[in-house]
Amino acid sequence: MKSSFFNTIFKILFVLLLILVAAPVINMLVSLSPELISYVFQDKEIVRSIFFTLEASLYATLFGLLLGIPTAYLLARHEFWGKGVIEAIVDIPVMFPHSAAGIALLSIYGSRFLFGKMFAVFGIEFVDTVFGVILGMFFVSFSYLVNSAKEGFKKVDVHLEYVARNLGASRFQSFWKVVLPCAFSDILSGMIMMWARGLSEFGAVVILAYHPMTAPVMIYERFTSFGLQYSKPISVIMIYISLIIFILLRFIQHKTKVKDKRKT
Amino acid sequence: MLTLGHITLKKGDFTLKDISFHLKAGEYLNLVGPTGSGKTMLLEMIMGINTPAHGTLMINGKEMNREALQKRPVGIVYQNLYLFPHKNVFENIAFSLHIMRLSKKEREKKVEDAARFLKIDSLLERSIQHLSGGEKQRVALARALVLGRPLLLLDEPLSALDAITKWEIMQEIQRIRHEKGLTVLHVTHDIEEALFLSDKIGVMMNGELRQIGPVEEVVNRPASVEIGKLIRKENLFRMIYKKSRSLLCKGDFCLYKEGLEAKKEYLVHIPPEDIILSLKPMQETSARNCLKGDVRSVIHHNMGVKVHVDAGISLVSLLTQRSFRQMALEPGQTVYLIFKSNAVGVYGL
Repeated sequence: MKSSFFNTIFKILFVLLLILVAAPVINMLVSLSPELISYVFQDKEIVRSIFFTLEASLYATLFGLLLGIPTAYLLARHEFWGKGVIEAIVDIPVMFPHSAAGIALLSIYGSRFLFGKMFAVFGIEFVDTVFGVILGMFFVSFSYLVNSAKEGFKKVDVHLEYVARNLGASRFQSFWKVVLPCAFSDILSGMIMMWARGLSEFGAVVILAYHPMTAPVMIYERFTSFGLQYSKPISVIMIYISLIIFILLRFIQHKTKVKDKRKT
Repeated sequence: MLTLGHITLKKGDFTLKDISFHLKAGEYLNLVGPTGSGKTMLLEMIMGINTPAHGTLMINGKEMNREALQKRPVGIVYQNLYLFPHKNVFENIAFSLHIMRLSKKEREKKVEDAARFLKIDSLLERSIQHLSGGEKQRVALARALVLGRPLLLLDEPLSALDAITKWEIMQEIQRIRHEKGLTVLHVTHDIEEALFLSDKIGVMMNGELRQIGPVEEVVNRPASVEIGKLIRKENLFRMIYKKSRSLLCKGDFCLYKEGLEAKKEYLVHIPPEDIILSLKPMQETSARNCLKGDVRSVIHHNMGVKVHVDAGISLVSLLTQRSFRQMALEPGQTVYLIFKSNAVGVYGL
């Protein structure tokens, strides 16, 4: 009797959560119509901002890959003084309010500040530039890649590296030919999560680089300037893009699980 | 071929202390010892994962202390094999050849030769996940041997295998070793593996190499009681010597043995393979020990059949399968255990 009461309460709460979360998403998804698609693709600014967002977040992910993979490997393989601090530094950007992250970035990469001046020497500026957009996206999303890759590297037994090196491979070769392929599915998951997080970023990007306009910034701009009706089409498209990425991620994770089961 | 001179190596709280030994080309050394005695650490030092704090490691007359892992002329097979899961059998064996940038033709020839030698030439296109335990073992051996390195390190490669596969791979290792003229350093905690495979046995305990020598020497003359207990798990007893009657006794159970010190306690061992079983008492034999007992259990084993007999004390006799079949022994049956006095190994406590 008590157990049935317990289950009923929990089921009601579960359904409530589903309605709260799913309703707005479903509402947006069913809004997709030929007219909406036609409207979006006739508006060159929207099309440009969507492709720019996809492109910028992809660059942020590739940059994350370049810096994040070595970091993840070091954190997975080695114990060293200050490791906990580095792990916290990797995780903290996710915890920041993203507008605060934008302020933090502007305070150091702005043209009047230390890093801003240093990069300006090489002709790289961040305020209202593509670099600013990429930096904003990178800052709030790189921890997804690092943490996922770190877990992937941890799963690769260090003895596989020893064996590879015993067979003549240098450290770099054993990393490239053995460790990286073995951790690939986790790295790929991390990349997709970072890419998805980057393309949905608004707070950090809007403060550091309002222009060139990313899709989330354009949604905000259309909403504040013209109202709900004009911000909805691009929002629907962005939700579909996010959904496709989510399905892709789940597919990869499922494949990985099946593969891991086979290995054991 | 392989010389270790006063090697000391510290890793965490554990230290390998002053390890020295020499292996001639073609010799097979088994390092035995309990878990945590430092066997694998020593193997990995030779492989190049750990660098010794003191001492000298020489392979083929060349000092290797600081030689990079990838440049040492040793092959290794681990207990867990560590085959590359993202590569198939061919790619696993060809890994080192690929690193050496051999041409495709050369790679294919060498891999095919190694695969044929290990009898896995029909498996080259298979993925690692679709191999049996024994097949994986052969792939790991082929991968370690394909470069033709003269020293092979084996880190408990047989312990994860079932009895039949283990026996098959043990025979295979013997064949490979003789045909390739390999020098082998094999780490195990299974004394039977060591007895079957090796020319020499080294006993490691607490980071020290307590004894090393030919198999017969270590087995028959262990340097200490601890080693004796490690090597001899069956037919090992503490007995008091009664000089007047030349008997070693444990309670009412006594064995004939000459020339020991009176009233002294000895650790006594009778090798199971030296005990002959008979259904009748033997009249015409030079063996001084003939004991009557009842068969308690029969265990079929890789190396024969172990018959446990209660003769006032529990003794084990190792028979060949053929002898066992001829005698048709069953639990409860009365048998006579016959062994010579010089088969009784003793060492002082």
